[in-house]
Amino acid sequence: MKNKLIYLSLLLIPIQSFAEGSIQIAVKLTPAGSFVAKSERLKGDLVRNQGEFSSQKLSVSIDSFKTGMSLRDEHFCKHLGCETQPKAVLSAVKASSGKGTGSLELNGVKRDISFNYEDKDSVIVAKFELNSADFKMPHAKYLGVEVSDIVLVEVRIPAPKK
Amino acid sequence: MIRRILALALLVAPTMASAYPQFIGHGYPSCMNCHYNPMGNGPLTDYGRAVGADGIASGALYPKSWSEEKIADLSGFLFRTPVQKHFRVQANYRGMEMVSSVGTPSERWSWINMQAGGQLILKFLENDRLTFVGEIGYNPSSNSAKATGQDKRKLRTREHYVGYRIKPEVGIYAGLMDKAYGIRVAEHIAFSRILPELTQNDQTHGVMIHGLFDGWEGALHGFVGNLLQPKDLRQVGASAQVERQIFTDHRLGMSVLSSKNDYVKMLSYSLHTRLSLSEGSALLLEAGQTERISLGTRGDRIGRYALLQTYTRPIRGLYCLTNIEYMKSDLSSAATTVRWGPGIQYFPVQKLELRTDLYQTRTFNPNASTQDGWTILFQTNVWL
Repeated sequence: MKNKLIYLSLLLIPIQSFAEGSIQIAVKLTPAGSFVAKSERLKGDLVRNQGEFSSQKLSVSIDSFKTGMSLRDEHFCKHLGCETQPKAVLSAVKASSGKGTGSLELNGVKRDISFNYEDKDSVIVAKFELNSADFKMPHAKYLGVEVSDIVLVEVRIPAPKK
Repeated sequence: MIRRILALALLVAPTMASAYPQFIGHGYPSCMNCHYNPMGNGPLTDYGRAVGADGIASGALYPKSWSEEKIADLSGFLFRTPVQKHFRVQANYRGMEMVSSVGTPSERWSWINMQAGGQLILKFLENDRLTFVGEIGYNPSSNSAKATGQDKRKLRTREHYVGYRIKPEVGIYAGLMDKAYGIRVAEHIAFSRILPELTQNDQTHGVMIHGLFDGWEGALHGFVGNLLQPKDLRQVGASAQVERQIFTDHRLGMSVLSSKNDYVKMLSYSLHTRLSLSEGSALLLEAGQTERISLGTRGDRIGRYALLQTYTRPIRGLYCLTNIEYMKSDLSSAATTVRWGPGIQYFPVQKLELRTDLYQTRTFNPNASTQDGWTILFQTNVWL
């Protein structure tokens, strides 16, 4: 009887994930080219509750992003304001039926964002566009090559099912 | 005949240019971020030199206290950061120790000065929309030229043109340039460059329009031949190359080239792809055909070629290469040539490239027996 109660309680409580996730930011260059900034150090909790997801806080160290080129890593970090705010923080995350919202704090600026997501084999894959100008970042340009203000962000975070 | 072509290709002047289409593996599908010529080759832009210093070359030999920004700042001419924006000077040297007929009694070691030149760039308007590019360099004499007393010029210009970007997506270029065709691999001895006649001295005067639109990039090139050549030798015609980006940093492309002079009419066409495999690693593949119609007494000929190159970057600065080439220079002939081999390309610090290639060349011919040819190349490339 005691075991049954424990089993029942396990089935009813929300499942909370503390596993590390990953972020990819796809960036376009002008006149041509692109790069992807990747970090495997997304931290925070993600709660699955009957088809809905929520999180109080997801964060990632900006200096953990790697772009495939050391100089670009340095520029990326500085451009995102890592010297004054070393982490990007997504809070008050709520998501259901493939759509979600949250509040992103980056470069000292906090803004609401919305995203679409898919539940792929117990991994939540969320995608959204960001305009760096919304976060008070200057237009990026280095030795004649410009970086698009609008970037595509893909977040992957484990969310095990019961 | 095929062996003669191979010998000529290897011995004449295997000059190589600084164009590396495999850098699609670094997220650069287009050449125009790093080169003033949007189709690649020739002088590097300031951005290209910084990428060469930080993204391509190893950082292992620099003091640990140096930031990547400091290393990039040293990428200018003579390790200086440019203090003005309109005028650039560059210089480069490429030499090679070639070991031919390896392992045979006729094994031969010889040092070849392939390239020693200087480049001058003038650039104006916002985002360097107007550029003037000129190059002049040492012209190595081929063995056949030495024998016949021809080609006495010790200096040669392989590029001089003016370029104007009407808008960021469209540019027009006029002057002496390489023809827009196929994958512009560094190896001028590649069969994919020999058969369509796109080797180290095959530049042409002409006008090229280059465009870049929503995943498409292409160039249309009309030309009148190299005006420094005798008029009867000048190849007059047009070429076009177009590439389509698929997924991220993968490209599919096709090219066509038609030209004629007083002696021969040529039509070449090819398909190619450039695939980014991972950070710094890439695969290049090209297959094409060249039709040569003789306007004199020599016979017509159709030749076919293919090129497969892979580049793997285990660590920053180091690239492991595999090169596989196929050529049938005359479809009516039974002979087919395959050349393959591994290579290592190492950039220990910025402005220095060391490269070793091993080539095995085999001719398949049911009517004749030929010995495999083994060649080793040790190259040094320095640019200031």
